Amino acid sequence: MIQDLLHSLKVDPTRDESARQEFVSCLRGYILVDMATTMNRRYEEKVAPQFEREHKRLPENGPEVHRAMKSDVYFKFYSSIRYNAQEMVWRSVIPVVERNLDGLIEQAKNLQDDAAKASGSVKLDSEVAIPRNVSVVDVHLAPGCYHSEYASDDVAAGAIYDNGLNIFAANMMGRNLDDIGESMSNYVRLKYPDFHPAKILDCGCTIGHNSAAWAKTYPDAEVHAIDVSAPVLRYGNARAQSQGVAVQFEQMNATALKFEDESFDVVFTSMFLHELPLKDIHAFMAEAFRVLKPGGLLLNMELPPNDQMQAYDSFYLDWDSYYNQEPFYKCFRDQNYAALCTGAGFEKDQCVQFVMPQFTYMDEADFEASIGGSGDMDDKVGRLTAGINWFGFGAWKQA
Amino acid sequence: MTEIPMTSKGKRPSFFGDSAVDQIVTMMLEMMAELWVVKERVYTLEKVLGEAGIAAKEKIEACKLSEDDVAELEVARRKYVETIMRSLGANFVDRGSLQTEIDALTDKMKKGAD
Repeated sequence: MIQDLLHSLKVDPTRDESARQEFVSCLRGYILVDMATTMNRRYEEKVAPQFEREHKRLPENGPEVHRAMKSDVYFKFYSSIRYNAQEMVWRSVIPVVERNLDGLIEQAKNLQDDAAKASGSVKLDSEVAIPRNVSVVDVHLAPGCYHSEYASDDVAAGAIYDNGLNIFAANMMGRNLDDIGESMSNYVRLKYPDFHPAKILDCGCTIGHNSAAWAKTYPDAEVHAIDVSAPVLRYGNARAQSQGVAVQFEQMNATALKFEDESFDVVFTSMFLHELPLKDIHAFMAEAFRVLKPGGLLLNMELPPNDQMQAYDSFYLDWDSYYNQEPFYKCFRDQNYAALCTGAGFEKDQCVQFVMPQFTYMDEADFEASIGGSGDMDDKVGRLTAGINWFGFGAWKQA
Repeated sequence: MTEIPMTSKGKRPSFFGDSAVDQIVTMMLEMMAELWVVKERVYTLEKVLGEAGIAAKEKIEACKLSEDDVAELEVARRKYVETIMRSLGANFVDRGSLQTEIDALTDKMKKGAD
């Protein structure tokens, strides 16, 4: 069953729409677990041995595996069905959002001003240009991407993202779709008990689902969240307000932050860098270094880097770069992540890398016990499947 | 009512070499989705009727449709066909036009150029 969204902006599909969404979610679960497992076996038992016969060695990296797999009929079905399922995620939620849009806009306006719920805010700036990697590419095959607006005070892009993510996740990203934020923030809380951030910034926050998790983990901290898109920020603000969580949303480009030097204790991103062209990643990292206080932490929840992955796992994760309109994804995963940090001014010995299980799916004691683990990569890291492990990297700014 | 587009920019990839096969996969999956919707609805309908003391299965066999019923079903059937056949719809011709712009931009940005 698709879980109900845990806030008042949830839209009610008709019974037929609901049945369609359930089908799409079920299909995605089947693709990502059952078909992915079978495809891996096809590689091990058929494709890799054939490659070895022809080349006298096994494929050495993701692109070599990809080239070898392209002619395999199971890969063709896997890819074709996964691509279609991705389109069907959006197609199953857009009509529901469209029908409920007027009410959603009204509700968002009311929640924005409802100080009794929470003391969050949203500050928009029409001068912020939508970068071309957002305006030209419909990232994740989502019609209209993150930023398109269809009405005044529009929140449609946020509602489509929230409801679409809920189906996309197939109950694997947390009851409130915030397992990434919950896991990362609680990992920091438990691993560094003497670290008490007073100001936290989430960049590329979309609907603020993970920003709110930081606000819950550190209730005394002031949490800011930025994005270039107005409709996701309006929606994110209303979503957080509805859940009684104070987050200060602001329309801003992460490559040109409007905040003062040394003003944050934590700069966080989740699933953000891999959607950026390399030039923008460098610009963001430099900005993160600039706005962090000495002793502050930059933490990027991301897909793991190709240089630490087995060839097949690397190929598997890069599928989205080739077929899910995420053209910068592989270029990012090909980088040395520590070098991205040191290039922005962080010291090499201050760089960190974390691998962690899902906080909201386990007892805190079990989660805490995992913190001492090796942090090594396996085929569950960064991959939406049963038993995901999240990956994070970043650096402390030297005090 | 505000209309929100349902189709994303860019060309759909062909995984099978012959794009006809890719389109058939789309048809099959849309068909599976629609069929599931109907199965769930029929299940629910029979349950609701049973709870109201109506023997639905027997009555369905004996039911005669009115002209209005027929007209309503015709409209629904047309939408049903359009959904299942969407991979061969008008976008089949139009969709690739924006891919050139996407490719040009991403090639340039991947190289780190301004």
